[in-house]
Amino acid sequence: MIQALDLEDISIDDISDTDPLFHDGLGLDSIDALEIGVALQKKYGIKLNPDSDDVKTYFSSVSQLAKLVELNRTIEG
Amino acid sequence: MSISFTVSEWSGWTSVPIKGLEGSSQLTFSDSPDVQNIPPMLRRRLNLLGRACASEILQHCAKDDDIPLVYASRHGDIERTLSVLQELALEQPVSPMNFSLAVHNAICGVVSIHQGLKGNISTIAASNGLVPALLEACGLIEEGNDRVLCIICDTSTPEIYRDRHEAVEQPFACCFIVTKGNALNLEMIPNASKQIPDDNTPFLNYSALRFGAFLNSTSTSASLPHNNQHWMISKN
Repeated sequence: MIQALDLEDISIDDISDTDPLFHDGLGLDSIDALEIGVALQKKYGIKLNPDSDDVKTYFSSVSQLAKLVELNRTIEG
Repeated sequence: MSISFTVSEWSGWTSVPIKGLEGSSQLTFSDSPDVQNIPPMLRRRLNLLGRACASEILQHCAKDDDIPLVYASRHGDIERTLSVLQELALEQPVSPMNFSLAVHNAICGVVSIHQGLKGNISTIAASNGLVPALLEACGLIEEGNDRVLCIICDTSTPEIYRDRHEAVEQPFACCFIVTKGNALNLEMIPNASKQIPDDNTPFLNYSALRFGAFLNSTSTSASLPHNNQHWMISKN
């Protein structure tokens, strides 16, 4: 995620697994959300349905994203 | 007919020293622009040219400033456009960030959102942006603005687009605050050879940076070749 979003001054330790990624948490925005979507598609072969309610939950934190990857990945890496 | 204005402050950055501009104190040379004044969340949206512009803009305007911006660049941040086209050619998903920033006014856009700038932003794509930017700024002054921020930047086109004979330009960015006044005159010279004084220095490349150095120098006039015309800048 650090690589995909060019967060060059942020290390893995700076991002909490459970804190919100958007707004008050890490401070990501809607462009970052789209960028994460593309990164998930490229790296794990996950195609998201933007209308699904699950997406909002999965994008809420790093641990939720990890759950999404575990359940839906089609590329092993 | 000439147009009068004043430049109250300026600064610039280049990646290498440029011949004839070594002694200019407002011009800094470094491998990459100083990004200390650019917060990380803004920095992640900017590549080299964008960082150079942001670093210059943020030195000259306060938070929530209502100063209008005039951005002039020949190709702007063309690396982004190229990367989007390359992704499309390979039938890869396009990076949303690159897509959103692959427009000519993107750098000013993200900087203005960050800094809360409320003035209008004009963008110019010209091969030599100095004269068009100054003319635009003078127009905005005439409309009643007290100050106008001109940001002029360029870099070489990516190699894939480059003509064999095209000179490679080093990346640069510079910023001028244009204000109402009559310290400087800008005038178009229809027949260059006859009316330009002998001590006049022509700006053949990096004209925006040379204009900045001219402001600090003892020279009284300089000329700018522009689209088969000459423009003369003189000090009052």
